[in-house]
Amino acid sequence: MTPAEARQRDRFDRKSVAVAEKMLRRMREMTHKPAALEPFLETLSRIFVDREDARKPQDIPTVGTYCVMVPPEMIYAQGAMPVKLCGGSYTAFSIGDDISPRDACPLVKAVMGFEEIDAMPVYQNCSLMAVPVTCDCKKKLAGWLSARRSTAILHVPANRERDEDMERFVGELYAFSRQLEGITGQPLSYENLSAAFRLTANAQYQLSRFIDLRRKHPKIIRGTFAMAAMNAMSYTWAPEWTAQMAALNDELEAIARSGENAVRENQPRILLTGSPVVFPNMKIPLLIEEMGGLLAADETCMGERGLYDPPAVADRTVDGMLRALANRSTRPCTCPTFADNRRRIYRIRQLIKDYRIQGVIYHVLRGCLVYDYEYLSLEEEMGKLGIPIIRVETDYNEEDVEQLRIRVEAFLELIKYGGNQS
Amino acid sequence: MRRNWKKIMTGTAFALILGLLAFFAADIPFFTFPETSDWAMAAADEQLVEIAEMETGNVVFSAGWLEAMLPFTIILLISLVCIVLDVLLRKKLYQKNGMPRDRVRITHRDGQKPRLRFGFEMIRWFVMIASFILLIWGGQILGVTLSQVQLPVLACPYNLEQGTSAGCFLFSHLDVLAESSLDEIFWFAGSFVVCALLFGRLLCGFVCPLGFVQDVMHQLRQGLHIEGVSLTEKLYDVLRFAKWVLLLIFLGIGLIGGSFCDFCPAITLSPALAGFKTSIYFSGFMMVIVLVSGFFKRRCFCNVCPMGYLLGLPHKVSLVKLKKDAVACTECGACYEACPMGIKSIFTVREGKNEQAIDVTTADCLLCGECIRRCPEDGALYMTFAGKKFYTASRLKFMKEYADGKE
Repeated sequence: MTPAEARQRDRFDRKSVAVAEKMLRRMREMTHKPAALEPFLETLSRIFVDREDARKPQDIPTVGTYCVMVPPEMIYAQGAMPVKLCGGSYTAFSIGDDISPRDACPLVKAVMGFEEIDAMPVYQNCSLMAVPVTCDCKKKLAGWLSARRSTAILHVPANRERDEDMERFVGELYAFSRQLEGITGQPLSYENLSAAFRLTANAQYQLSRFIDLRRKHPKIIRGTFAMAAMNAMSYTWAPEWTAQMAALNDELEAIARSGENAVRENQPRILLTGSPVVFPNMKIPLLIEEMGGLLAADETCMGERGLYDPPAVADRTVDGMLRALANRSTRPCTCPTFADNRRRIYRIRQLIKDYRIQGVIYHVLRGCLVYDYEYLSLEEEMGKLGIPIIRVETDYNEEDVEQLRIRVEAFLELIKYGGNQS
Repeated sequence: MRRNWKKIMTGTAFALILGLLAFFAADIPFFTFPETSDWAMAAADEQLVEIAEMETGNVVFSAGWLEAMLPFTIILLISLVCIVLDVLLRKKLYQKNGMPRDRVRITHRDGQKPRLRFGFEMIRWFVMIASFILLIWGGQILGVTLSQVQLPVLACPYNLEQGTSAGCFLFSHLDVLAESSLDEIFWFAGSFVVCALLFGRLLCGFVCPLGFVQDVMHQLRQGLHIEGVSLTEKLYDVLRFAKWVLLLIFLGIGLIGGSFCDFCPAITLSPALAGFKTSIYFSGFMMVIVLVSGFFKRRCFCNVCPMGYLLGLPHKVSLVKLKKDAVACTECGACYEACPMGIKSIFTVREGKNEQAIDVTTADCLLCGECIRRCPEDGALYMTFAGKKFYTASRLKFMKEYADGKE
């Protein structure tokens, strides 16, 4: 290691830990934090502050995944543990910034930074990286990673209407399964696949309970906490997360029975949508809630959407289950990398109805073109519904926080005092 | 252009072969009982009375019944051989292509206790079993047959002891219908109109004995976890074409002097189970096709069934409807994947007069409720009777079924 590299490493150690700690502290300082939330925050703290690897029951390989299109069920089935590796670190971003084009998105820059600095066990220890080809940056990331690590590149169809495209994606999953077999030695079989489905099914059942509770009582929990729980899922063994989530649900149910609210009655209920919000880049959710809004729901892929859609197994065979996974991973996905994505607008409309949303904040990471593209059509649709919406563009640094604060605050005031005009 | 020509040529050839097979079905014997060799002709001549004398034993498991069941047993054996051959061939093919070894392994282990859950699905099975028994042995059990009522399902009219009469006979023998008395025509048309209005293809999903047999085959495959055929638009295109050809044969064959009954697969099962010794012509081969295809693709014959399609045509005025809330729908395609009829519009349709209640029933829809069962979105799909919801998709219900065997 050259002295320059050592200095960079040292700076990374100090700064990245400081940012992660600060975000965790801000979350812990918020009012009405349920006691059952602590395990999720501890997971995040273990990964980003203590720099530990993800906890596993046995010594099995981990597989890093980069988008929700990689089915965790297959990884569990073949005896490995999936971790979601989309990066949110400001420090890793600044390292990645030097080795990627200026306009690349910060999320991918952060991933490249993590890979480059080689100081995060959860990244380092992965035996396989699974990168679906979604947006341009992920595509280049897949190429860049495959030169350094063993990487599985999954071709995701750009459109979902034709059945041949689905068939092709099922073929991709079979190829992915062969690569998994290469690292774990365990082939795909009906037994291990259905056992893995049960692991995620229980997790999804708890998430459905959570969603159901939030729909019935939109003020029961702060959205930042929900996003922290979903982010923690990325690094947690599924049954462990299920147990943690079950505890949180039980606590929330008790709170619901006692009629308490996490926030005051007149706090504006906000929906956050757009580019992924990955820990420790929690500045937008934290700003919304610190400025007196309630993040009632989110439509982002490291949030609720990461585990939202269950596979519907209509045919209980290996092939039938893979078809269900292929379907689940692409068809309901609201990722704007698909050419036709009108379903995202319907999805947001349904969220607005379910959570009685009063305003939408559209998060765009600088360079995330696909999300930026969809803003206009969403704005038009929100205009029809009379729901105010703003677009906030940010980068992975804290320099724009003050400016964002002013905009978010003004937006919340508008909803609070400005009646329903948009 | 050239591909189109190829398509037209193969299509015409297929239709011609099917048509010829149907027309000369009576010359292709599968299994004939010696004393009833002119049975089919007798039926065509509407001398149904004679048939009654030919029944020898209708007590289940008596010697006469066993004899009557012989052809169906042969059909079952042939089907079994076909299925085993297919599984073995597939194993070879996958091995060559480097697919996971266990993809075609037969196993009954699930790691999950089968749990019966009261709901639409269970009611459907209960009704299917009850109507199967009533349609086949109804006359023997109840002592009366509602022979005036002509239920438009493929419950074979050659079984004289079933609960009701079947409408398929007159539909496929329009020449006979033309010569029937007004009274008969009234009953025939009346029962069709009433059934179509009240239930529509709900009868296919709940009542039809041939549908039940196919569902049993499907469950058998599910129990053994044997891979089926991939369900794609291409497959459904072929099936749709076959349906049109069969519909043409079904309606037209009587007029040009053939009999659909010698071609129809339903004749092999229902009369035999009731103890009627029935000689079987091309129908036997058809039944093998029905069983094998029903094993690998759920309710495959229903996709081409002309009777069911006719019953589904008036779905616009039928009281039972399948509806969709386009806002709640995430277009996950679970309904399409679950649909035994491959109705794709159910998951792609977004526009309608009322976005929250788009009528997605089609002439193909069996109203079997599989799509609602597999739908994970609250209220995205639901079934109504005269505008009243009686079966609605629910996320928590879906998740409970999916996450069964918890912890």
